[in-house]
Amino acid sequence: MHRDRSWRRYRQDVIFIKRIKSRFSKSSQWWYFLNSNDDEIENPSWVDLVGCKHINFYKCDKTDKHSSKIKNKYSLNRTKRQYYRPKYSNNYTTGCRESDKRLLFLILRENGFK
Amino acid sequence: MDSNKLIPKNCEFRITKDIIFYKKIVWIPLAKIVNRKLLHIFLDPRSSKVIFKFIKHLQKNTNYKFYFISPLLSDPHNIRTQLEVNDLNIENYLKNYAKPEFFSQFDKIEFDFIENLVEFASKTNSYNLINGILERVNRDVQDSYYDFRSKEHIFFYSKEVRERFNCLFREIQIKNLLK
Repeated sequence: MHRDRSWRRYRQDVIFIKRIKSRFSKSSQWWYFLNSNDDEIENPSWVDLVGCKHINFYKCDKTDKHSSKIKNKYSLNRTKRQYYRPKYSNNYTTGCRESDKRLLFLILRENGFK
Repeated sequence: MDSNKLIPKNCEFRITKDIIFYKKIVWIPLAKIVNRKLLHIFLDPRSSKVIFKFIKHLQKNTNYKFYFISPLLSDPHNIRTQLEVNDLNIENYLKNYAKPEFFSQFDKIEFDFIENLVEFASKTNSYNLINGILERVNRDVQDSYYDFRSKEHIFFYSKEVRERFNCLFREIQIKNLLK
């Protein structure tokens, strides 16, 4: 696939729409909703947010190392600057998906299923 | 006249059911074709750049007349009376004229915005509504709050806009006499 400037612009729009949709919720706009023209709308949708000044922030939104716990970017393939998700172990999990999987295979092997 | 001539070159436009759309992440309504000589443009600050490009194209290449209406009227679900529609449109004219996206930009493309407003009001028999709506809009334009740290009154609109709005009704009256 030829990834030129138009393709990059298209992908930027797709990401922007995804961010707007995830942030938009009707329950948070129960009092009133103002569109880009400062008009009150009764039943707003995510399309009405396009063009509002406070929404343009999502075009240049980035995730860094210290941004938040939610935006933690962990990858097994990463070798340099590697950091881990916080582990909170319970009775049901060890707090990490990969170690859970490893434990499951161990139990299966001990009982002769694999 | 062919409706394809309405669309300027090198732009992403589309016409469906007599409404012209343009692409800005999603398809946004820009104008409504009323008949072969008349257009209604949705005046919205988010599409200000496209509106100026569209007006330039209409003035140069076509004989269409155009007026501005509120973008709320692009939604057919809401049912309004004629009086409410006129009130909404004139308020939209005056409210957007105070905004920095439109205030000085109409003079640059040599388009008389106030004359267009007077024409629209006289055509819809709503000239008497202008004075009441202008008072309502001017109250918001002249609004300010007191900042205790700097000990100054801070205004939401610039000084040019506030002075223009104080003498705007006189200008409208003169345009109405001269038309």
